[in-house]
Amino acid sequence: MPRRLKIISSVQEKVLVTQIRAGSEKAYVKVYNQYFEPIYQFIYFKVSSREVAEDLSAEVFFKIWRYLNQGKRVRNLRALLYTTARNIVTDYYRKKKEVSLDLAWQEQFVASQQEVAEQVNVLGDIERVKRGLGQMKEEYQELLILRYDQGLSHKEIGEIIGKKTGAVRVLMHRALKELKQRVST
Amino acid sequence: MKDLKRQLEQLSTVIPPPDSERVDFLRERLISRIRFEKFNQKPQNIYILTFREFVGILLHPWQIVQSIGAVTVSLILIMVLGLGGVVVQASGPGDLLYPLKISVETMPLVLPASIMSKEAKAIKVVQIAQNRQKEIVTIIHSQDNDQAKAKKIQQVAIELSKNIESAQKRVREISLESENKVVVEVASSVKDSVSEIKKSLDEVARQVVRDELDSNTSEELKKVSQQVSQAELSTLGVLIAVVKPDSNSPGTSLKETPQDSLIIPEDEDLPLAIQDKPVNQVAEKSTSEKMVARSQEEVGAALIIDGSPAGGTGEAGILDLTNQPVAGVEEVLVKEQIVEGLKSLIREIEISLSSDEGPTVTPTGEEIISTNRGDGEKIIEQPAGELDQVEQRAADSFEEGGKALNAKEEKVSGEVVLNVEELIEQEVKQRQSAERQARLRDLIEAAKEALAEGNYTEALTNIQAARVLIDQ
Repeated sequence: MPRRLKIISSVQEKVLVTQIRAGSEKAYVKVYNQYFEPIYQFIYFKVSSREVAEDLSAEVFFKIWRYLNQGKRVRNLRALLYTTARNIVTDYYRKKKEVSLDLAWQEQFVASQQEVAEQVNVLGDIERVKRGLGQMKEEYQELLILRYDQGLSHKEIGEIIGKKTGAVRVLMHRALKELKQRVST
Repeated sequence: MKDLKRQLEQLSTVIPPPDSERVDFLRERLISRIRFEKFNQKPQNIYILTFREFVGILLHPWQIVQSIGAVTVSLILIMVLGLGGVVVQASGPGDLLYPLKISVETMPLVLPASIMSKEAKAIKVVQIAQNRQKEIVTIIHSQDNDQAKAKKIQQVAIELSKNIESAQKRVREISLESENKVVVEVASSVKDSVSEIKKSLDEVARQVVRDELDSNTSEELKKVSQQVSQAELSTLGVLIAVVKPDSNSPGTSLKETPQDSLIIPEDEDLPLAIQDKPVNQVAEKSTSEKMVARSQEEVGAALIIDGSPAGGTGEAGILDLTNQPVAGVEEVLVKEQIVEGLKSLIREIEISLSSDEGPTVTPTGEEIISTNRGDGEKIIEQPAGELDQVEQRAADSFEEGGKALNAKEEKVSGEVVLNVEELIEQEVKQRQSAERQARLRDLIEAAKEALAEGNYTEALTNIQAARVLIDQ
């Protein structure tokens, strides 16, 4: 995104946040409309169920509203949304308890591939990529999805996963390398 | 690698999109939960806000109204506005809020005609001008130093000048567009107010000279005073143009100025002003009468309103004054007003003339001797039998004055220096002054004659010409 647009977008976001703090439903609906689908997509990759992804996405927005109304500081609303989404998915799986998170993630991802392949015409390459992605550890999967599918910056990703920007770049490089290996084999 | 990245970017395309109905349902559910949450929350202490919350409220002010009640907010607003209004109204020239006061005063003037008519606006402008005049009087009597007074007076004088100009313009517009009765009402009201302002300004101007304030202040006041005089004459001209003349009184003939499109209407044919009526020749008479004729032509534009021939289409912007004439009783009242106004103007010019001339003793040759003092007051002296005594007294007073003057000069310098150029200049000035005074006297006489004949327009024109001479 060009720098000017980034600045405008950032200012608009700050205005929205301020309005939401003051209790404006209208402002919050704007945020909901703008971010629901990306959050849904992000969560879907983790839970592989449309209904669960929808419900969890709505829960993300409710938690964000509470967070803002408690007067807590928000530097980047978008990053906060994804962070909350991650946490909610973690909580979702914790409630299940019997299955480890990584395994659950992988199983779900594989299952989702089959589901998608039945429903949607998928290019062979993308399917291979998805399969390869499903075999990687969660941290790498998240990095690649957030970066390439959701279009977040390294800095934003760093805020979400709690790492510095430099570390994110290194991890990203490693993740891409691993995916390439998996896809080519 | 690029391909890989591209494929990663397309991952979302292969996942099922969210169900739109469900998304809407979830949105509504979210809003309900938020409202429920708000309802259950403890009430915030609205008096303790973080800066962010404060900004949020500013961006969304309806929230504070909901918090503390619409009635409370309205009361607070009324109090704040009321207090603010009082503070603004109390401000004077030189204060920070003075421009705001001016703006607030002139706000009604921008209202549409359906809310405030043109006539009401014209009267409002004059009221505003009266406020400025009162401010000038207050400044003069204040305890400020001379410099501060001068500055404030200049500031107010500029505003007053604008108001008077606006009033003049509005009266002119009303005279072109409104019915005669309305025009008479507005013009009378404006004329009375403007006359009061003029008197007050003259008094202030004298005070300024006495107090020896800044010369710019005097100049500014003089300029405004001239403008006020002009406005007075203009409104009187409007009244004259509206009223039908007395049919018994002989009207003067038309004086047409071929160069000007504006025509002085003939009294008998008022309110008609016909371009193709025969031009009366202005007889070749003395210089002073030529001056009168020339002055009349020059000042015609200030007073005159275009008329159109009866039943004719007229030119663009030409007034059709053949609407309903002013009713009989009202006409009489207006005529009285006009006559009073003209007499008052003539008196003022006479006073001004006599103050120029200085104290004079005018043996009139009649039974009673009157002496004009510099401030216009007349002293009625003994009958003509003591004329010699009066003349002797006058001669003595001049001699004493001359001695005093000499004494003063001697005090200043031990030498009497003859400056030929200065003497010539003085002589020229004296002659010019004498000529000017002679012309003024002629104009006054002409105005009186015209007034006696019922020829108001000519009287007004002569007065205008006299005013122009005085102001030069």
